Amino acid sequence: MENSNNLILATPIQQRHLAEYHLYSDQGTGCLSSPILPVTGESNEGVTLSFKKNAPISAGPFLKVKTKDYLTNFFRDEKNEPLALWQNLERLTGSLFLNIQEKESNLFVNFDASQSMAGLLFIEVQEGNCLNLNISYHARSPSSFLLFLDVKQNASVNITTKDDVNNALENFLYINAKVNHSAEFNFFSYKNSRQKSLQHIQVELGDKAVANAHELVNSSNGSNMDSHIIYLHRGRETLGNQNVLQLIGKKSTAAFTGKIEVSENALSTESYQLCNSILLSDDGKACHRPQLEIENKEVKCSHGATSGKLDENALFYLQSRGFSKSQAEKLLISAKVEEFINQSKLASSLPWLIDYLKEQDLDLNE
Amino acid sequence: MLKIENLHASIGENEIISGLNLEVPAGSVHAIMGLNGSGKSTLSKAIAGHSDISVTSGNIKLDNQSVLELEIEERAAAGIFVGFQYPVEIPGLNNMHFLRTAVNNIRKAKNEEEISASDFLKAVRKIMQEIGMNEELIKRPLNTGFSGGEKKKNEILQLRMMNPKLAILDEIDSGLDIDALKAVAGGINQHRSKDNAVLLITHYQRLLELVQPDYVHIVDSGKIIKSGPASLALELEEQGYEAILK
Repeated sequence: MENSNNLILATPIQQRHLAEYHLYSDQGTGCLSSPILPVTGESNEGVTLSFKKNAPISAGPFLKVKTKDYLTNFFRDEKNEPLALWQNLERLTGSLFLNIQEKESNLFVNFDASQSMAGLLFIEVQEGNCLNLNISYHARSPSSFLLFLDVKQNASVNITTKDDVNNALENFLYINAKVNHSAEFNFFSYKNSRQKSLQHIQVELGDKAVANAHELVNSSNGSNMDSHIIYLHRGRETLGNQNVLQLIGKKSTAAFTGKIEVSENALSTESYQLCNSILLSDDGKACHRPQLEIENKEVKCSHGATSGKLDENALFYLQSRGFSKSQAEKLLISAKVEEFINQSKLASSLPWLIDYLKEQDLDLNE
Repeated sequence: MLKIENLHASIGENEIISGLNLEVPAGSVHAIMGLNGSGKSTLSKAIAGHSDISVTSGNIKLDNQSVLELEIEERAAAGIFVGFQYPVEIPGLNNMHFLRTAVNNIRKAKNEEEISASDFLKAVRKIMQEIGMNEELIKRPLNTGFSGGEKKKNEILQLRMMNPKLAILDEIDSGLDIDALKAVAGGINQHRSKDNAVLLITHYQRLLELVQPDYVHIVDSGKIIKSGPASLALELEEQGYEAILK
């Protein structure tokens, strides 16, 4: 997986229960391999991954989480401040293993990264438990955050991410989830970038598992945003939904690759994919790549994509009621966003996002 | 109040309005009738300033001022309101938020203070009761999932709240059942005053039985070919367009 000019992060050798990972530099510094030897323990408040100078790799602890609200910070320095860029340090990685023991818990992850930092988080959600996971991604330069989830039988995980990387050159968010029998994976992400970013979500669904993913993408000011959602339907009677809304401003590109793979044994699968792009300028570009690989006949699958400008009739209607053209455009964009948010299963936990977007007063024509 | 002078207007290369003259004084209701494709809706869009319509010659004046150079929203601020045949649905845009902002846009243009939330709600509730509109509809997204009748009542609610000088109601009666038609007509009658004017675009006499027009104009091929009192609509209903157009 290509990540940045400086960094190429390979898929971990073992996707879950990671044993080791590789970090490569395309500047010819060679391959760095680090075995992970996790420390085990319990944690009841939160954990911060901090680093000392000249110790660029943290083999994080393996923690059993037995608390309702839990805070995780990537990365901090010795004074618990966001880690500043260290001179002559090309890369820095930290990993953390969490085993969610509570019936319902809320996990907050702050990913605060500067140059070439990679954070790896491994989470196991025990049978019947529910994890609400909120990821805040603040990147100041090329960086990667990788999340590996094992959602056990009848468990559920609800993930919301806010990825505000206005000043970052490039960033990469990777989620790999194994959703076991009758388990549920719900995901909502908001990506706002003015540079280049990649998001890759891969979900493997076991018998009767459910996956819902909503991605709201605001690509403006010449940015280039690429997102992938891949559902691997492996069990019977699985249900999948992929829903993407892209707002594309001047000289910006938003690409979406949505893949639905249904294996031979995954009978009675239902899986749907929809990507809508709103082009807010004449030179914005949308790219949709739907991919369906279906190996049995007892399947309901569909994919759809639209791209176009804001509805001229709606603009005329609003202007005829005294709204200026720019006011009408903003109102229509806000309405689209709010409608999109309300379609998500996580809508009830997203009023903060609506408030946040209102505060931003999105100038999407930039 | 409204004066249209030898108006020529096109959509693309096609001239739709071809030398139309019309004067609608304050305090009057004028009805425009005509066959499909005769230019009635294009006329309403030309007055409102729709970008699809190019006015190639002639003039449209409101209170003796040409509106041709004004943007759509400036025409709305000057007092022109269009009630649409097919009001758009905007999911995600709350009806109440939309209407209050629209009312305040107009008040701001008139240098008036913004309406307070409580005064707004009081006025909205009163009008909704008068036109038999379910109060829940003000809390829903604009026109989303509304029936045809509910959408038209919502247009009348906007008309009453915005209180424009000139209301152009484009086939406001289409798709309405008898009760909804009475409610919509009642709303128009309550809006009528000596200070404003109404231009009703319609195909049917049934609306004009409930909203008595002062004049009826028949439009064909983009111009008015016959004008007369309210009885002209009755004549049209009895004889059909062919007889009148001969």
